[in-house]
Amino acid sequence: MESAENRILRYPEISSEDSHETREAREDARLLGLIADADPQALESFYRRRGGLIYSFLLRMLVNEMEAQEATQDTFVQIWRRAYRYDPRRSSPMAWAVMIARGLALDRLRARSRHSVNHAAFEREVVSLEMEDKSSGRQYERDELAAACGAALHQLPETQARALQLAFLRGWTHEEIATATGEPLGTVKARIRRGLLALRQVLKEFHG
Amino acid sequence: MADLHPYEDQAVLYLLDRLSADERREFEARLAESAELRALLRELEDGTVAMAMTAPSQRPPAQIWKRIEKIVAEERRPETITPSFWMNWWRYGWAAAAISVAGWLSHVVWLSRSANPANHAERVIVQPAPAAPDQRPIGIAGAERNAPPTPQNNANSDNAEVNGLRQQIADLSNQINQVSQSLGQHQALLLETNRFKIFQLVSATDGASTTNAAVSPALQRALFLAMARELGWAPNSEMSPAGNIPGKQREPAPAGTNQLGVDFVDLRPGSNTFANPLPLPKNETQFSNPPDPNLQTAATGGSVPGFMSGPNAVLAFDSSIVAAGTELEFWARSHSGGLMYPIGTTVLGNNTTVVTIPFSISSGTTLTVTTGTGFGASTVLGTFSPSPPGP
Repeated sequence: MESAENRILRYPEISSEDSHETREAREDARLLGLIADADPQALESFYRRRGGLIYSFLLRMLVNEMEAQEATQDTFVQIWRRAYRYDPRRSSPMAWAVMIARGLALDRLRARSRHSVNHAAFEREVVSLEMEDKSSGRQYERDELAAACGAALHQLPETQARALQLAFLRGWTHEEIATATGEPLGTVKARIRRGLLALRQVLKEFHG
Repeated sequence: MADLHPYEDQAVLYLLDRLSADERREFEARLAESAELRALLRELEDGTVAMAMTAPSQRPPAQIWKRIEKIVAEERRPETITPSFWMNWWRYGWAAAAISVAGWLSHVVWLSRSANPANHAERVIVQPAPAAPDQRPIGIAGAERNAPPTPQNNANSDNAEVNGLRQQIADLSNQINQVSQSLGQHQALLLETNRFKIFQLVSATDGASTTNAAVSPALQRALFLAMARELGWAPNSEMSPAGNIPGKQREPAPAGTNQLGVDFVDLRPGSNTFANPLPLPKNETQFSNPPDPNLQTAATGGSVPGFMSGPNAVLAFDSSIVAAGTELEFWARSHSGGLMYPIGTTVLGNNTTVVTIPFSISSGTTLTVTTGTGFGASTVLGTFSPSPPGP
């Protein structure tokens, strides 16, 4: 007999009562299918739905408006060109798009210059991320889900949130974080993995 | 889930694109076999979506979609209207027809050249008898000129020449398209209102009066160059150290870019400038060497000019502001008070230096620039307190 845990892990099996998240994912997947058939209107619809998130995410990673604009443009051009390769059995449409955007942003971060791997560099990146967090809370409109994700990130233990942000937003490797913080590599890996799973749980709970 | 344990971390590394090619192949093989591992990977992927959602929500400027639309339209142009099956049929059908026609034409040219008395001289050259150099066919270059030419060689060389010319035309056409596209993008940038906001740091001693201080020609030039870089009109190249202090051991200053005699220092996250050993953020009360507005500054004259470009402040320094060799420190403090954050440091060299600092005008913070004396004390060179944009 299948355990409850396994049933949860089989996400996103489509149930008779689809959650809002599943419906959104379905619509995104449908649009990607049309984009794969070279339908520019589908690309525009996908951009209208997800362009804001991708742009905000890239601005967060690159901290440069011009570069974020260029990277957003590149991301959607890549989505246009690669949509035929998207496999809904392997990943959700948003995860697929976010990873394309992140890859392009990392290329730009690497092109700027290589960061140093030491404690001071680590702390300075963290301070920068904290400053952005403080400004974001009151200055920008945030929808409910984004606010929930932001709150969930801040509820993580500080060391976990830092490791997750540096690995995901700044492109630090696990080894670099371990070196900079002086912590065991296994600890850093586990923190990042648990952090991602904790954030995923927020999405799940939000959508019921 | 117990059997997943060895692969949990690998799933994260796979997701973050941190596996080697061999490790990736091995992981993908495992992924194909294990439904649980696939489920774990999808959960982690959803975590990345949630992570992306933690970014402050910003509305993308309208010109982004216009550019995407233009690129997509360019890519679709050869494939307009027709459904995919017929589109492919046309595409490949025409390609096959074009190849056939080209082959047929080559054959005809070769035959006509063989039969045409006007080409007799060429055929004479094929004869074993020595031929005068001026009888050799024109247009065959290099080593081919030394080889005995044949009718087939001539036809091939003509074809190669024509193909070469066609390739050049295609290349030129591509270049024109690229320039046109780039021009369109830059025009869109210039149409943006409030793209830049010019300001000058207010001196702690002089108050607001210094906001109108004259800016030296070198600083003006550096700022224009910085604006060109912000707009993407000037390449980021020619890497060299930013500081240039003769006879002195380099401070741990950030590496920068030197362009046309101006040192560009980038203090944004992701650059190696974050290696600067500044102290951790502290409460102001704990600040061991707080910038003291009453102290004599190291400035030699003018105030610091700069401009806001999106979420960055760009400031220019030269020896009309502080002496070469002076360490410049950049701080941010929330309007609500309390915390003072170090942003970064650099050392002014002999060149004019432009420093890019992550500092959003809407962040409600004050930017402060101090000069280090090298003995631990800091003096305030100037501050900038942007008023948040209206609703």
